Amino acid sequence: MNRFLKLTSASVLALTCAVALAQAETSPVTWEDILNDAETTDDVLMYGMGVKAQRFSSLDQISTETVKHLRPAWSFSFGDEKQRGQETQALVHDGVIYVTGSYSRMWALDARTGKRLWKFEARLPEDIRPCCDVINRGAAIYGDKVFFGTLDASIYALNKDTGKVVWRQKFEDHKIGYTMTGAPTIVKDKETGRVMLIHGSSGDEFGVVGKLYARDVDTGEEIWMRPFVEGHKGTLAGAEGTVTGDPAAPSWPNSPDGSKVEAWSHGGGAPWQSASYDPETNTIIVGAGNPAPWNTWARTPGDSLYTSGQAYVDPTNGELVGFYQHTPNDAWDFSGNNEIILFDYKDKDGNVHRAGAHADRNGFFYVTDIDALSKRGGEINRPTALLNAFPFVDGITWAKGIDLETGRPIEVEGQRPPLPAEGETKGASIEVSPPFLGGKNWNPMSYSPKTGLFYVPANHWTEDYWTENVTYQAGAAYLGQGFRIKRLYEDHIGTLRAFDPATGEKKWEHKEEFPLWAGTLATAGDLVFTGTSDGFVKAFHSETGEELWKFNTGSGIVSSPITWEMDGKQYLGIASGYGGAVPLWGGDMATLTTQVSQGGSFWVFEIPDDLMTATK
Amino acid sequence: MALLTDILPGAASPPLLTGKTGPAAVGGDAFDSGMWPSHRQEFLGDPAVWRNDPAVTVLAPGAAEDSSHVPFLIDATAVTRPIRRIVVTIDYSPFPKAIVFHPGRALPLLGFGVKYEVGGALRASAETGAAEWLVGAAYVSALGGGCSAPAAAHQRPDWQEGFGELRARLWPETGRLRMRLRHPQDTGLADGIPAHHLTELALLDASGAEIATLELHEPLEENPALTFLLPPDLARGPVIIHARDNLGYTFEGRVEATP
Repeated sequence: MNRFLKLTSASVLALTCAVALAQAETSPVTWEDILNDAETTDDVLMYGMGVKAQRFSSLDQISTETVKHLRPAWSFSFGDEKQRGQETQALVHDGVIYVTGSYSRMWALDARTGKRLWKFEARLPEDIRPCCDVINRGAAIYGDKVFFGTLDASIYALNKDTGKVVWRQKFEDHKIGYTMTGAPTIVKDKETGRVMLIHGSSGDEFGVVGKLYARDVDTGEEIWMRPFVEGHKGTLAGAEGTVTGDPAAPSWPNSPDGSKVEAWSHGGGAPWQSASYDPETNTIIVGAGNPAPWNTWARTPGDSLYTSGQAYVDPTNGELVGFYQHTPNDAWDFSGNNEIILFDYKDKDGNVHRAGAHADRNGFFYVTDIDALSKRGGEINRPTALLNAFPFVDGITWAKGIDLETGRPIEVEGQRPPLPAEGETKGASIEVSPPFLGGKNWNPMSYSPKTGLFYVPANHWTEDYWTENVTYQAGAAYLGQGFRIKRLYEDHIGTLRAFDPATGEKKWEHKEEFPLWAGTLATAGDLVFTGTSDGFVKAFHSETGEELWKFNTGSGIVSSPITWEMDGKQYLGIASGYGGAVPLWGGDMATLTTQVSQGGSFWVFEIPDDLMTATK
Repeated sequence: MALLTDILPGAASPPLLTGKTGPAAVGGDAFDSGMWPSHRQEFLGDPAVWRNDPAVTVLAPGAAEDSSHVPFLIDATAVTRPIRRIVVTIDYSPFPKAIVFHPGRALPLLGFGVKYEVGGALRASAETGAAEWLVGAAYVSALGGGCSAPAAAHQRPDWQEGFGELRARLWPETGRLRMRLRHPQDTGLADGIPAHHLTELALLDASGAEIATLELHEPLEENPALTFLLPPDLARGPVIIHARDNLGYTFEGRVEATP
């Protein structure tokens, strides 16, 4: 009889849900809304909080004075037995929060109460191959739809009011390593007036060919596809398109028989993070991943274009129009994926340039000339489109610096790990810093136009690194390298740092015991927010780096914070739930990471009304 | 009564099988018992006019051999008025609404299988053009658990193997169309397995015009098999089958008549 009663109540519950599903519709999101995202404080419509990806808010209600009163407003549990790796950045529109979670899940939540409006959960195949945890970094929103990528190399469009699938497109074979973790972005092509969804894929560790896609927002139909390995062919309007760069691919070596080496067929360069967009030149700007395999000798001689750099793509036809390579012939899995923040750069002589800022895994901070790089025509690879470069972490071993004249790194001899000796399976081990996990990884930095500083969530660590023999096998890791991550300092791994892009001067630094794997957010309240791997949300003074506030969310934070205004009040939102690449590949970091509990929740903070009144 | 059993080889008159009616059809309960009043309100729009009618026959086994696959045949061909739709509900299911069948240009006959979570009645409510509902029912005794156990597909290493395979046959002399689609039909109740089930299926003629449509919900069995009955003009084929699930996968097939 117990069972009978239980089932009866389940039926009643189903009825209740059916009634609750009749949600109020929120307004459609327009391209103008997205274009103005950085200026409007009542919504967050893009990964990066605006087309320039600055992650800056002009809100100042939560300030250096009031932040001490910040308290949780509500918390939402993602539920399920899938408590790991919440690397997401939420979106906010019309009082609804759209947040993605690990294992390709998404929720719509009432921003005022945390009440769940709907949930979507993709059914994943058993043989997905995410290299670096089952994470997702966020969604895009446009019209009446929200869009996100899933670990089986698919992209979904859901109705934003119901969570029902509008369309689903599988863009590549997940069995050979294609996945999708990054947030897609919306771009309206100035030339054709067409609104498109821009996304890439992950999978460089499995030897995929990195590709950037543009899709019709209403149907999911592919508009174009651009591969980032020189000599590979793209698509345009459902037909074969142009070849990327020189069809002979001179930046990749040939075999003795004159054909391209095996590595070229699996060359990597996957744009797995989110694109920025420059409306002035109508250009998509996105980082390209590491070449595959990691093993440099499988790709020598040559620069392995167009990998480990920043790519400039024309939305009209998907042509690669410009490229700046941070790490030519990348031997260290530095990749070039980290975000490119667009900003007005005032150089030491007071000249202002429209520039891109990028803190690479290789330890150097780059300021690039986006006008020079988005110019149509001429050589694609433009190493001299560099305005400034400086180290942002200590102890870089692989290069002495970046030559500002040639735009290329000044490499240190002996830092490319040697080939195995005759009869050996492993080459001699060398020590390299930063290690492949990077001076900074995917977790985005922020830029405050108010202070003119970049807030970089960096890490200090090093690695033992050695070469192994490598042969491509579909669906297996394609690295040809062995590694072990080690400490660089006894007292800290993470280091949150503020930099002046013109001088390269470090204005302040805050050390963290654990690796930093969360994004940062800067506000006009002179605050910088981020999360720590041991579970704290923290607020720092943007001028001094003084830690002003913290709150423990119960699991590690590896996500990106957002802020918005609702009913006259400023809110802070961040996901909690530990995971990502560090607990999987962090080597000696295991003594730290195993101390952290798994989780999956979204937290919203506010200054309660009575405390707000008290501050006035 | 034009039961499909009439046209099976060796069919007798009266038919070999006949649907039960009245209290016998719902396990001895009165018709207006259990969850039925609330389902009537929720899924039929609380109609003023409804009645148990022997013209809507529901054939089912007395006891379910396998709670994951309980076969039913609904036959409303004896109803003289045109039928707009037939709503199939299960009295005691975590998902009481199973199927809505819009017969359109097909005959109002549908064979299907559902998962049973606990023994009880399945009801077929046919809405006629005269704004009345004619209801048939069948009681099935079942051990249950069909909705909360993982699909058999998940015992294999990859549920996507064979996923979406569609088989069908159309018999022109009788107009019988039978189809089977490989689909796990996950309800979302099994641990760690998200809901993944068909939401809609349509039969189209060669010109792409709709013949009949189905709204499908969680209770439909894994790898569902469906039987339709087409009038002679459509029985010549070909028939196009189009289906979609809640994750946006679409399935399409075309079946020619094979005498």
